[in-house]
Amino acid sequence: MSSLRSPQPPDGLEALGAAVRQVAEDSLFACAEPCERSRTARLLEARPVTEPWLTAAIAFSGPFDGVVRMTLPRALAGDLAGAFCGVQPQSLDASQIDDFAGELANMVCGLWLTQTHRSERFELTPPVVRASAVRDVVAMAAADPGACGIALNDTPVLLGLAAASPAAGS
Amino acid sequence: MTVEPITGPGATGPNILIVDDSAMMRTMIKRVAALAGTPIGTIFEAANGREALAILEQHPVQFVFTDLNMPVMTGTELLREMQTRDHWRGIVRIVISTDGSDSRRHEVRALSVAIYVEKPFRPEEMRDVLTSLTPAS
Repeated sequence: MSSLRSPQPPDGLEALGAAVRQVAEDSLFACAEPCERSRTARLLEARPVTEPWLTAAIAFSGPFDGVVRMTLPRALAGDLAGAFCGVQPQSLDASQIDDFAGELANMVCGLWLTQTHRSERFELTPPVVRASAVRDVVAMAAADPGACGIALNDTPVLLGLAAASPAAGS
Repeated sequence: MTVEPITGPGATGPNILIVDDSAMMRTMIKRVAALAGTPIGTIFEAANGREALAILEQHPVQFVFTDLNMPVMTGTELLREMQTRDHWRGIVRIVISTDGSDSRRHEVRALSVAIYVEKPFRPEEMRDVLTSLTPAS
């Protein structure tokens, strides 16, 4: 069910960033901190242009609808996956890293919704994970008002929150 | 769908079924279980409720740890199906979910769920759940 309410940035993004920090500290033994747009740009500029990145997206529906996206370097996803499962990152294959990236976005989205709307009910779709190019990440960080940066173990991660348009007549 | 004995032949602890569409989450829970210091028999894994039902039909299981949001068959659907089988009445149900909403908790409490763990959780939280359910080794 859709309604006219939606989680508009920046409040939604700030709460989403707080959810990332809690997931990082509780389950990943990692340190996450807010990252203003200029610092995010600097961190992104320092990344290799050919570095593989991942975007994990979770769509949610309920009192309002939208999509949460997490975009991060595949190497960081591998390191975090290793910490999560207690294994060497080098032992993980691509499908395991994709699986983890999806679960990470799932935990962040679910935690954010629970912390901000505990009395309301949402349905989450299974995560969708795809490869991203650094140039697209840089462009999104610079221009998308629904995106913000997080430094996770000093590595840039881009969070995105897009509210879906309310269904006609709802 | 996988079956993995983690304590070897002759294990006397309870059998556990972990139901989650994320293989990495299942791996994490298995690891915590192995480190918890409590006797555990066989750990079974399922990626959704339908796979879980197939395992429950074939193997004795004492504890079910299930996610809720899964493709094919959700955890809630699994719990509803379990309610219809008298011989599964004694299985301890534990939900592990990112959804901590009041209405979801209320819904699964009515489906005989004993413990509700919100993701993300610290490994020691899961260890405490296991030790509360099993006698010390």
